[in-house]
Amino acid sequence: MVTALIVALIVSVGIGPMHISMYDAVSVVLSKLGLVESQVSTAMQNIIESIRLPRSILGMLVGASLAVSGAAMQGLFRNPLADPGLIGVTGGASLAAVLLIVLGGTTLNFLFDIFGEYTLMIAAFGGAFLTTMLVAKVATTQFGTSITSMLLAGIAIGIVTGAAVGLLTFMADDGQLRTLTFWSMGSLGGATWSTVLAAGSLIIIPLICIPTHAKNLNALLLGESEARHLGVDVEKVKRQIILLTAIGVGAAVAVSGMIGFVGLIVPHIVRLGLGPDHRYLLPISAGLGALFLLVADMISRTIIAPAELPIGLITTIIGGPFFITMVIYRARSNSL
Amino acid sequence: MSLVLTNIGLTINGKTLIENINLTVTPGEVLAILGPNGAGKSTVFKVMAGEYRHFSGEMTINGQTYQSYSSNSRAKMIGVLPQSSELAFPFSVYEVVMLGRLPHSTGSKKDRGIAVAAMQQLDVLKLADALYPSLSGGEKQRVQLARVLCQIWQTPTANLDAEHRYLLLDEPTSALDLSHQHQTLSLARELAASGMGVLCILHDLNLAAQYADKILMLSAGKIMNQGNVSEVLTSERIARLYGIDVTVIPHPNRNHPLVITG
Repeated sequence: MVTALIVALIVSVGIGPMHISMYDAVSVVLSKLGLVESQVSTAMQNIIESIRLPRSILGMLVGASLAVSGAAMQGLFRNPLADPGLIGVTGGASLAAVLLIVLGGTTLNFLFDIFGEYTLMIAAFGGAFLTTMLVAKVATTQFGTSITSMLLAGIAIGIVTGAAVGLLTFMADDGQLRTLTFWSMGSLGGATWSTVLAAGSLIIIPLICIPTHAKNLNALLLGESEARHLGVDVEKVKRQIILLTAIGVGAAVAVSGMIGFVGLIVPHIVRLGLGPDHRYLLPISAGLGALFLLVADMISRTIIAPAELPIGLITTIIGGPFFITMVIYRARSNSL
Repeated sequence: MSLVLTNIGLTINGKTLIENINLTVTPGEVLAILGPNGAGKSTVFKVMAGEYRHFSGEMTINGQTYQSYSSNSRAKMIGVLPQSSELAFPFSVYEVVMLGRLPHSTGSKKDRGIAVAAMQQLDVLKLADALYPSLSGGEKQRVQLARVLCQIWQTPTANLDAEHRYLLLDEPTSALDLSHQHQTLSLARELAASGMGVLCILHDLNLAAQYADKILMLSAGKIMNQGNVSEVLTSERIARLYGIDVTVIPHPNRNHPLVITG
């Protein structure tokens, strides 16, 4: 997994409108680490250093974050269809962020003064947190979590946030409008070292903390009462998972917009191979999520080169049919 | 040492669900709780299982108050078998049973040994690699019992008096056919014989007569009667509890009463 990630990282740094050989890509990275003397031209070095490398690293961070958050949410809701996008969490995060982009220059300007670089992320986190709480509240009765209510609540929230974002686009000026369009389809194009640093410092929290709940999530799959009988403090675990996934999804949405289905596809594939045990599911999903988004980003940069296809379109084109297949399969086995 | 409830009551939103509950689950014995729907059986059960924290009265486990234990150490002493347990994810039987070791930190080697022993005892070892969702209802029940057994597993060297274990069963037979009903309760009996205290909610009076040592009758949130099986299972008391006429005769082959409706 680690090897695959490194290879993919090198390939992705090499791919783009300006072709850079693998050898050059490696030597630039190594020379930056002070290991070898680079023979590569300064232009190439600049491209790698300030455009491609931060972009690839951001892609890995976002992919890992979305995949781990998806896996954790599926454990929490005891349902493999609970994707941060499908249950409206991404929508909530993006509405909060769009609100900030459009009104940020005027009404909400004071927020930037307080939070600086992190403002967008904190807003997206807030949106993600509120929607997860809302979905959990709507879908959870004393008999447990109703999958139907959860998905319906998610769809409703998705529509409402979509409409609200639409409304805001009318208020947006040209520059904001372009940001919004890119954003609603997902893009890693805005990656700089400072976004990598800001997003990374937040995403690292769920990446480290969620796997420590692996055993508790396993117990939760048995049912909330059963987990309680096993000595798990269910309310505390639920609160923490909701908070951590909101940080993960919020930070990812803030830097890359709406990249759908990563949290659904990746854990599902890992479960097919390794089973549902969260002790393996969570870390492997993180790795595979990073890999998945790197590859998706390479496709997005090359398929209609020199133009660029938004990465969210690619994950959705892959993820949509995948999701429908999952639904058909589950309907046949009568478990939905 | 026992699991003792003294004067337990629970009021939720101004509605009193149970009051004045006094009962003892004694190691080595099976206590059956009987009562019509809505009598508060499940409420008493849930209080013991730790689902409600705000009950009045006192509950002690092996001589120490309920509150003095962490939820983790309680989980090592009290195992709860759910009525039915569905799993949307394809865990193998072995993985489900291993979940019982969650409150312990005894190391994976020891945990594996205990899981295998528990599966052996419940005759599900051959299913170890099968996927839980593909099992029949009876098999699922046995696997869940193996999991609970794994959770409250007692090493032979343990100080038995201070570390008695308790098994709580909520209508363990409701989803099972006749042969599995008897299998499950025989197991509960065996576990009691090995020194565990067993509490079991039952609806079938004859199953209670056959497998319980003591019976507790619950009506409208209060204890109506409790005592040995032959004392409590009388036609007058059953008529008062359920409002139907029954005849109670001695079982022709066994040393316990037999309840016939009508």
